Amino acid sequence: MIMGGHWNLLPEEIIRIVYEYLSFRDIEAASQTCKSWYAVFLDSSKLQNIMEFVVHQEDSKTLAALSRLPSRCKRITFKNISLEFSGAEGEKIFSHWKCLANHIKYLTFIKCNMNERTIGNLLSYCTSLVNLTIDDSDYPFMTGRIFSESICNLNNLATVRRLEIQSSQYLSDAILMRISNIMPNLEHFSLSGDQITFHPAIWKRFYPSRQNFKYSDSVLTFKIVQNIIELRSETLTSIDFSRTQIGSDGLIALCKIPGLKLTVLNLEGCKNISQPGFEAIFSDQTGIIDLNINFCCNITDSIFRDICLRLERLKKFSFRKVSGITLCGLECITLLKEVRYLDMGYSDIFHDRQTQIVREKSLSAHLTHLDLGGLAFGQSFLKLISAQLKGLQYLNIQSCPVNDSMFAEITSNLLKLNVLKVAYLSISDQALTGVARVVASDEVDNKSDVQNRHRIPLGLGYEEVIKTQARCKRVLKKTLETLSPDVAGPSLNNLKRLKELDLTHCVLVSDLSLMFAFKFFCLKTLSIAKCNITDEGLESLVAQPMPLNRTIEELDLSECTGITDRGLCKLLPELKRLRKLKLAGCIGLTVKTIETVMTYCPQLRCLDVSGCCRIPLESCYSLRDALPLLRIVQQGTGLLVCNPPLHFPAEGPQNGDQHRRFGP
Amino acid sequence: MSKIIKLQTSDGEIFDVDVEVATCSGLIKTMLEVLGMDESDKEIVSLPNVSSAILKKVLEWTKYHKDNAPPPELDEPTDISSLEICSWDYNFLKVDQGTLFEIILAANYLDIKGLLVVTCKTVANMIKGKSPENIRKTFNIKSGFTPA
Repeated sequence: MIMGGHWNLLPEEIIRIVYEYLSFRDIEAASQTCKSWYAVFLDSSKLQNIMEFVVHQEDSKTLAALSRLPSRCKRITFKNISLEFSGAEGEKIFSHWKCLANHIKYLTFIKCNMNERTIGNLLSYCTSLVNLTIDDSDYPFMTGRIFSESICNLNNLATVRRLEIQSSQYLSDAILMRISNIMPNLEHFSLSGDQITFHPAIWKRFYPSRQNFKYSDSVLTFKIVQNIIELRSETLTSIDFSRTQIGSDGLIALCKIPGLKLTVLNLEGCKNISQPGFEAIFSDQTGIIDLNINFCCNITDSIFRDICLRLERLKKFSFRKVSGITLCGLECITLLKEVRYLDMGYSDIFHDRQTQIVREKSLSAHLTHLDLGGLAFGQSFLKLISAQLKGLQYLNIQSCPVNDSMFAEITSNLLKLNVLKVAYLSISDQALTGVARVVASDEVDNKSDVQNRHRIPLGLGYEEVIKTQARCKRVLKKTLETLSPDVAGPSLNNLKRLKELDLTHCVLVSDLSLMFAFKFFCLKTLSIAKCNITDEGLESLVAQPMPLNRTIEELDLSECTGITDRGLCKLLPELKRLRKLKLAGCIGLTVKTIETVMTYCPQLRCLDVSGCCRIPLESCYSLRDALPLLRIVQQGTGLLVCNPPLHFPAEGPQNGDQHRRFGP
Repeated sequence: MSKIIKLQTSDGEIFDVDVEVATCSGLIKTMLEVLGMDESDKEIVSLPNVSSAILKKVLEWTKYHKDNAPPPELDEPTDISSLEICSWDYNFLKVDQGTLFEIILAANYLDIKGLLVVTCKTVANMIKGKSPENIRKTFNIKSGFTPA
């Protein structure tokens, strides 16, 4: 037997099982090693479904990018493309496209400056398209001839079930009518952020006579939208009017459409809707499963009660930053027995009395996603929540008045958490490492005076506090080192499934947490921005045995002023999956960090070094030349080194797994 | 008293195994069902794809999990976070790459779900957070392959 075995000869079914336990990036890396592992990667239908291939402008040779796409990929996104596909090169592109297009199910254009002819041609080859999104792209609509028969025949698009035309200023009645004819089987229709005109006077002005009128090329009227919804009411179940001017009249009109049975309704940021509109829609459309009324301002207790009473099947409910509900209204939320996803961040209704609600009736046991950001709840509430909702996978309690002992409720009960967002909390190392409950010695009791909410972070010059903190830290470290893991209290390590952890601005979190509480198998996104971290902490992050902590793909270390080149030189070579690194305001870093990135992080795609005043601009330029796929941001100096000169992507896609950037 | 079954490995060695232990293997269970329990006393079940060293390991694993801890359940396959394995398994699988490879093949051949899951998890843990070159090094895969 050859030592090491023939791993490349591992049977396919076993490779497939191994892949089941890996994240997308890990599978991607494993697939690069040999033929059979790559074959399974390409073959896996699950992967084909989640892989998204993004064609960016900076792939200046779009042709090359297209030819590199695997022939069976199902999701393609064009982002910031302004090329015109014409001439000989255009023909080449289309001959590539023909091979690809048959398999594409999800096609997205974001900020694309292609003309209507190019988009029409691209679309005309797609025979199995299900999802079409055109987002923030004005250019194709400007001439008003997009989707017209004179350009190309698009009857193949009858397969499209989900259509999103968002943030478009030039969408008109005529275009919409053409779309409706081409795609008769729409189930989901989004006009989010479009300029829909609701005023009847404008309708009258553009369509003065009732007979043989021509659909307008210059205005998008709600009347036409309404007609189309009515026409497609048999199949249409999901409507998105978010960020439009829709008002009560519009909603009432929707209710009058016979046969319309909605399951998804998105009214985010529709500030013109008042009580009658809400009343009408929620008494008519009782089958809604997914409702989004974020940022709506006219929600009152009675409307809220209507929602909870009538929409019995509601599974996903967002009412972020909705003002106007009081505790009386909120009580009704316990009526929603099916709800799985609840986002009520910043809705300004919480104080400690709400515990009674939950104690008596309890929230839906199916709940997996809960966002309580910015709410002022008390300890007993969190205790009840964590005892009731053991199945919770997502929890956001940023900026909530949570202290160490409340945090222990989370780490001891909510063991299924995938995502934990606890930014801006005054929790300390004791909470994260779990010693708070175990150590009852005097020294730690001393801490109680530092435990109140108004602690002062280190570095602000309050000597006494600094001294106390340093002393506590020493004691804590000693305790942690001598403590056997069996007796330790609930620590962050209990949350074995964590994929995303946000500790931004938790100023009391220090190296000790990183040393003793960071043992994660599958953590992908970590933010410890503005935490009290030094090189020692960074080093201990990768001092854990493989593969702990090595799976990090996005790391935010902004404003960790204590870190220097030394820590990053130890950390970066170990993080082979890192795609995004934020170092803004880390004033201790110098050109050495840039050199480390250059040598050890060829996979990095985003680097933010804004305000790192000791990193010279020249070194950023040379880094840009060395790693052409990396976007570098250096603001602070008043200069923006961006490669290419595009905006820094604010947030990745919702699920990191779905994103794969393409480059040479 | 429980019954004993004889298993013969590829290198000719014969193992006397408790039937209860042996039937953790889906393959042997089916064989016994086909052959009938009584006859299996005399018959020797031959396992041409498993060497004695590996069978010893596999039997050690099945015995331990029969007596001490239930074999790890087959997790929901999509739950990639359930990568932990119990400490006994962890120490048990602290073997060289070749042996691990053979154990996986044996677990697959003998159809022992629990062992297959644990070994695949171990392999997954060896891949996590590494670059393609590192993975190649770990598993001793010859380089030279570049995906199209």
